[in-house]
Amino acid sequence: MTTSSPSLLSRLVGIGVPLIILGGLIAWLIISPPQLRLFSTAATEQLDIEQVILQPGRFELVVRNTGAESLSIAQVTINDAAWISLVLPKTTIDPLTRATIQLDDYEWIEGQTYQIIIYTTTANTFVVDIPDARVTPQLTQPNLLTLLLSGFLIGMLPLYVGLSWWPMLRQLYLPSWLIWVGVAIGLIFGRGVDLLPLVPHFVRHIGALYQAWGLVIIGLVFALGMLYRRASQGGDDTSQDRFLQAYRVVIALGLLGFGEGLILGQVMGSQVSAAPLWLQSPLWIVGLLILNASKGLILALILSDLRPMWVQWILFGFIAGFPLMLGIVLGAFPMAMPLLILLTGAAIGAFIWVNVELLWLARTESDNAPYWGQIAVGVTIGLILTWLVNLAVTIV
Amino acid sequence: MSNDVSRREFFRASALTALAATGAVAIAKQAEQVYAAPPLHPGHDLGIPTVVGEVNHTRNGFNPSTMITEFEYGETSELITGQTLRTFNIKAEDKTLEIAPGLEFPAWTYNGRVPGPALRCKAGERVRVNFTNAGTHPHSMHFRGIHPPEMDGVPGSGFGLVQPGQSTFYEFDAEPFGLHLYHSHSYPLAQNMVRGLYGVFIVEPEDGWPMVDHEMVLVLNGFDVNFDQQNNFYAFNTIPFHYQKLATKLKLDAKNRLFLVNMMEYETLTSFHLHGNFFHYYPSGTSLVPSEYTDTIALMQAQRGILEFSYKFPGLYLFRAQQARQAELGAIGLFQVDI
Repeated sequence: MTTSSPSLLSRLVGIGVPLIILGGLIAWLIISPPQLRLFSTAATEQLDIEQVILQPGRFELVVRNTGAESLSIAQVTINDAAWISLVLPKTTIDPLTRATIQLDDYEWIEGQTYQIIIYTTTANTFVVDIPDARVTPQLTQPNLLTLLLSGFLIGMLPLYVGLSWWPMLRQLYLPSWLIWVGVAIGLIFGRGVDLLPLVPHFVRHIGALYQAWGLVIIGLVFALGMLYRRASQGGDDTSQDRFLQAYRVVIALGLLGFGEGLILGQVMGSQVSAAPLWLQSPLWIVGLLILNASKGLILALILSDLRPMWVQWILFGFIAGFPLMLGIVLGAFPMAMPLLILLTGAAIGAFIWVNVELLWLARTESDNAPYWGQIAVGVTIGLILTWLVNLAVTIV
Repeated sequence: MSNDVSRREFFRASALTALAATGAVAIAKQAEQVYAAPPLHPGHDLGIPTVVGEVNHTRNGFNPSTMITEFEYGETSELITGQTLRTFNIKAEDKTLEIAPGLEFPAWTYNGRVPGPALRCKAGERVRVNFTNAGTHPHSMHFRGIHPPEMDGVPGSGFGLVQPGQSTFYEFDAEPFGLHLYHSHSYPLAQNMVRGLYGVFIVEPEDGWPMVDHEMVLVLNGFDVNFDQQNNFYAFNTIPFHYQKLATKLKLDAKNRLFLVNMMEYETLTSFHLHGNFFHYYPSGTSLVPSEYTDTIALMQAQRGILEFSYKFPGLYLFRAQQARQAELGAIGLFQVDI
């Protein structure tokens, strides 16, 4: 490196010449004879199943050609029976475009397992497993309201329930307070354990074309970077800094809730994924209402030394809770899967950040010598609570 | 203009009205009789398994609708011993077939079709089969029946496997009478069955079978289109659901004889069930006395038999593999019995 300032021309040349060389190389490779393309392999057909919609007497598959060449749908079978299919807009699907495969007059039975096999004209097969056939909620007005209501019940409401521990937390001595910090970490970690295993499924679901793991990592790094940037702006010593820290946590919780909502919305709106057992229970909303109170608890812990105004209370709850509502609704649509995966990555980043932030809080509150034993007890309690709630919900 | 109506005109009008009304009622009743049964549209009912679209039979080079009654008799001449020599010419070749509408399959064929031609001769005749392998893999013709080992068409015996571009011939006396088959015996064996190198070999009794009005040949076959060692589609004579979409026509009270052969690979068992009827069954066709009178038979791989039946009532009758999976993936058809 040099300390002298180069001229504009030399800067432009310095940037431009390597780019020109690179462009020339690319052009040469593109127009070169096929023998030079040493690493090219035969194109294989790829068809991603983006959504499976079940209505009485009908299966509907939203598919996308994620391969490099066009493909054509020849036949479709349902549970080892050839079935009339209607492919819209046409049976030939161009790269990166979508089509809908309609299978009508099939009297499927609720709760049963179905396997749909799509045959292309070149005899490639694509298998769609439906582990538990149920009518797919349609995003009509009442169902949109249902999704919003679900989001409110498991996103907004628990936030305020958790915040209601604030008066109690203010009166605790440090060791007891640290146990509650541990409980919050345990609960939030439990939520992550519940939901993170679903991420690889969605990653597989959108196919290699979008390099889904790359999107997850981009989202994750972006979230961590953004939150770290905000964290580095304050020292967490004063009341104002503590409020800033609270806002960071609120944003992180909002991001986490958004990712959680996207995953839940995907599971609710699509039959493709195998929903975890706890989500198959009719009481899953009750379970999440209980467990998501942990987010309110985290906020209450952060704010336990502060006296927020009532507007701030509402704002905190809204920023941390509303994204989950939004995520559920968006996740139920077969839309912009790459964006959803990106945001899920951001949610993972937020999940990591919240845990780090809580530990940081415990450290600063304890004058850099936290009672790790108390925190460990709290974490254990939080994890056990998560396990018990999931067990109860699943059994009931 | 007078509006008065005479008594005669009144009675005439009344009589005409009554006649017209009676006629209308009669026509309506007639119409009721004609349309009392629901209209039948084979293969086009909603909610039944079938495939979308139509196969291009011309491009395939064979059509199951005609294949069902096609028999290859070859050319005959007389040997110096006085024995009849019946000569068949068979060529194995690779061919892409549309086995279901829009679904292309890299088949191996005898004479460009799957199954190969239904070779037919009489017991005691000398059979000569001139075989050329125009495919890209070694093949052979292994006939069922009684013959010397060098004519068995298996590796290590006689000519063994016929390499691509090579030719050979198989010669033997046709015995015993019955319904037999032939297939390639190159390795891996399963590929010959999966890709279509098989056919029916019928040896009539010296004096022939009793006369019937209609003879048919059906080969039950399965297709593993993605080569995962599991059949994806099944059929009678190669094209799934063909005889469901286009029913085979039979006559009321006519005597029918069906040569039925199971050439499915990857299935240990299949079966045949005739709806609304019973049939006399001759396992392998090697006896003139039926073994049973039934409506369903089981067939292991390469098992076959002759079915004789006639229909008592007109209408559409299903025939199918009893196994639901095989039927719902194509091994199903219809007989349309007309007066």
